Amino acid sequence: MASLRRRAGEGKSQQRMLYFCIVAKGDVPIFEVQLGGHAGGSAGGSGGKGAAGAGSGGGGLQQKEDLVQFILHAALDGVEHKVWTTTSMYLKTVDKFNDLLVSAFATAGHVKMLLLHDHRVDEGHIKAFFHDVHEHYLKVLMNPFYEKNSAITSPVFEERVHSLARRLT
Amino acid sequence: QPEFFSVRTMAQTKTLIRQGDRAFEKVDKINAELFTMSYGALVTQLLKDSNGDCDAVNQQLDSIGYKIGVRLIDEFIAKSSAPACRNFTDTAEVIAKVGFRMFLGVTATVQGWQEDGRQYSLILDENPLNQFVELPEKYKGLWYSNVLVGVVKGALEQVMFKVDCKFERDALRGDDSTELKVTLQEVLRENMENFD
Repeated sequence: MASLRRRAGEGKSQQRMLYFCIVAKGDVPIFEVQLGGHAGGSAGGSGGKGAAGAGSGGGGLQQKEDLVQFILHAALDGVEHKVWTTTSMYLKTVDKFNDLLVSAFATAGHVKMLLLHDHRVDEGHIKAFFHDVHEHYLKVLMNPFYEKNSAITSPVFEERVHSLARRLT
Repeated sequence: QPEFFSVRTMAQTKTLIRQGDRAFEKVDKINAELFTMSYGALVTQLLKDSNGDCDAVNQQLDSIGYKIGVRLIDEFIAKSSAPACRNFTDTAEVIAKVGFRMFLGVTATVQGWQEDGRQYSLILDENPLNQFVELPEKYKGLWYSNVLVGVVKGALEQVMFKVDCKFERDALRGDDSTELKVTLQEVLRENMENFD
């Protein structure tokens, strides 16, 4: 916790904005996590993000969390548009917000993965990241106890996403 | 290990493993994922039907396994050409190396023989039934692969060994391995009373 506060105090340039979420059909988020520097990010379903934000340094970070939600939701329009223009699942950049980019990946089952990042992340890495997460997502789908379009709560999955994300930073 | 078990040498076990591989080659195969998903669908449906009652579902899987086992044994004897078992101890290795291999594609290890030779454990390192499965907290009373318990009971009963079989540990529950305990209850005699 102390280290997180220290990070919040540092200059903006140090903060790695890297936010990943999976959105199911009907624009329902089923997995959200903050990657990169802030290891204690929010995870799983909608609703708990405010609490995580409050834990790591007060109002400022919470506003950011809300903003991220807003950006990603807006990006979904961009995804809908791009999805019909290409046969590949990787959609590259679908939206921009100030200096942040949103890259997307859409599966045949209309499950969308969104990554909010800055321009410093390499495209090749993002593509590989999406494909690897997709593979792990397929394994979650194979679990007979997992209901499609419900929140992904598997700790194994979350851990894998975090470890894959390390390649992005 | 009890005295009589020393008769089962490494060479004999290796022969059974080879036999198991041969039997596996001979039988028809099915796509593993289809098999896994079918079983998963069965278990989740049973859970839904019983409103999450794990004990009831364990029982049902046992019964289903039993019905499979009484039929499976004939298939096994016909297709596997495994050597005839002389006693209960022989059945253990045959089940583990030939039976499991033929029908599940994986071999089990026999361990933990009791002094009286009436109880042993089958250790499964791999279980195709639980590929990709993660057991939610609310179902931790469930023995997910309990059908195997019924199969062993049903099959052995047809060859005149009445056994009790149950899961001791399951990797799905967080244990370090999957273990089935098999206990001989009685050796059945052919009931001649019904023959006129």
